[in-house]
Amino acid sequence: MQGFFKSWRFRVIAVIALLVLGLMLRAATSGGFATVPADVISFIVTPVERLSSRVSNAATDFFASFTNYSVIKAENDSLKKQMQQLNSEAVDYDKLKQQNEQYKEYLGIKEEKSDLKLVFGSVISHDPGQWFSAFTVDKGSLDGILKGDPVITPDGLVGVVSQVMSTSSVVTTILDPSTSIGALISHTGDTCLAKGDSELMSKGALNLVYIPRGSNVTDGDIVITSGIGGIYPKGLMIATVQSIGLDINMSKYAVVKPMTDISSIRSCSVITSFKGKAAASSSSSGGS
Amino acid sequence: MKFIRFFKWIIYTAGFLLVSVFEFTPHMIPPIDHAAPLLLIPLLICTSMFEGETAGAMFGVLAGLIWDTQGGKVFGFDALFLLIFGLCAGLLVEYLFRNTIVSALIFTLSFTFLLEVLTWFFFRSLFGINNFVYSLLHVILPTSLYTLVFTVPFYYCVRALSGRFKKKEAREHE
Repeated sequence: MQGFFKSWRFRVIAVIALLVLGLMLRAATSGGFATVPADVISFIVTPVERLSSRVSNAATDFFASFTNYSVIKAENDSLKKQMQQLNSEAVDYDKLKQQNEQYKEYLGIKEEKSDLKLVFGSVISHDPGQWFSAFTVDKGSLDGILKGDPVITPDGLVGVVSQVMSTSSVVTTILDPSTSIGALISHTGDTCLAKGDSELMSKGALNLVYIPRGSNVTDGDIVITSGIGGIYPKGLMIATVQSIGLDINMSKYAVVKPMTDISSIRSCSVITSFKGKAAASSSSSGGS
Repeated sequence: MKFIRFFKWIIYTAGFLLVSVFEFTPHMIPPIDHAAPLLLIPLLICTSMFEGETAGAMFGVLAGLIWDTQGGKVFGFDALFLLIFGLCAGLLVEYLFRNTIVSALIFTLSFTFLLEVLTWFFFRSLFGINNFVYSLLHVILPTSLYTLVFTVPFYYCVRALSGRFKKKEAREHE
């Protein structure tokens, strides 16, 4: 074996290992912007993944049609639409119910939403492991996407862009333990923090922490973005409350289920611009 | 001779790309109790066992860089560790182990387990999330065992491919 360690092959491998180590340190300090090798690899892999994703989606749909799935799917879609409408109505109802200044400001969400600039993308791959909840979309910096841009589906918020390459971007979902979102319980008006949890991630849920002790939060309440910090536009639906508990500091916490089934997302929209973003984006990157 | 060798590396590279796309494409491989297999590890181990430590190290970098473009880890993390795994698998077969399916299974299980533990350490423990027992039972072991299953088909595929190219190279040499 000593012969190998003295050979030119070992020296070449050692140099490559050092280069990779340097690359890792560079990536760790670059704040989510892709290094040149990341861009090159992504440039090669993205078109193949895009094609593969289309084939996979087509195959899934094809087999679904054999099992009378289409009827259930249509019914499910219709129910989902009804649910979305009811959820929106519930949020509107809560807004009207609260007459304080905080909610007067909150009623302006619909006007603000017209300011959203969206880039539509298809999901081309999912992170293979279980440590992170992330997926890749087929739109990148060439389409105007930046690190920290929020990502939504028609149902609500699904994540935030964590790495940007020229033609693709990695989206870290709201389930990931690294994600924290300033949130608001629409029914009570309480501000809190929606935070990913490594144990809840596999169950497709996340935590709602720092809920005031006196909060009247109940199961089924809708959680929306508070807009505090300016990373996410306010009023985006995040999740519904599933269960409530008391933590060791005697403040409340809740387990919440996202509005969107994150494991089955096929397409999404990246919010590249919204009212109030510019003020915050320069000062923070990550959660709000 | 040179053409055959060049063609061989093209085939291997295409194989790694294909398997990675298969691994990343949503709904391609059904998860078992939320565990998903890490297909590139058994493929890398088998390639290294049949093509040597240098090829193992090179394909380790390639597989790692592809992985690194996908998710939450620091870019280069997987490339560095897969380089080391590819190198070690080749050297172990050359100096300590026999090239058998049992060796491939041992290497795959050990290296997958090690990578998962390292991932837990660097991306959970260092960030203050010290749930090792939960991670061991719900992530590390299920992922390692599910990955292990794929070693068998990869071992025989790579053995057949490597054998065919070696025969061709020998014929050209004569």
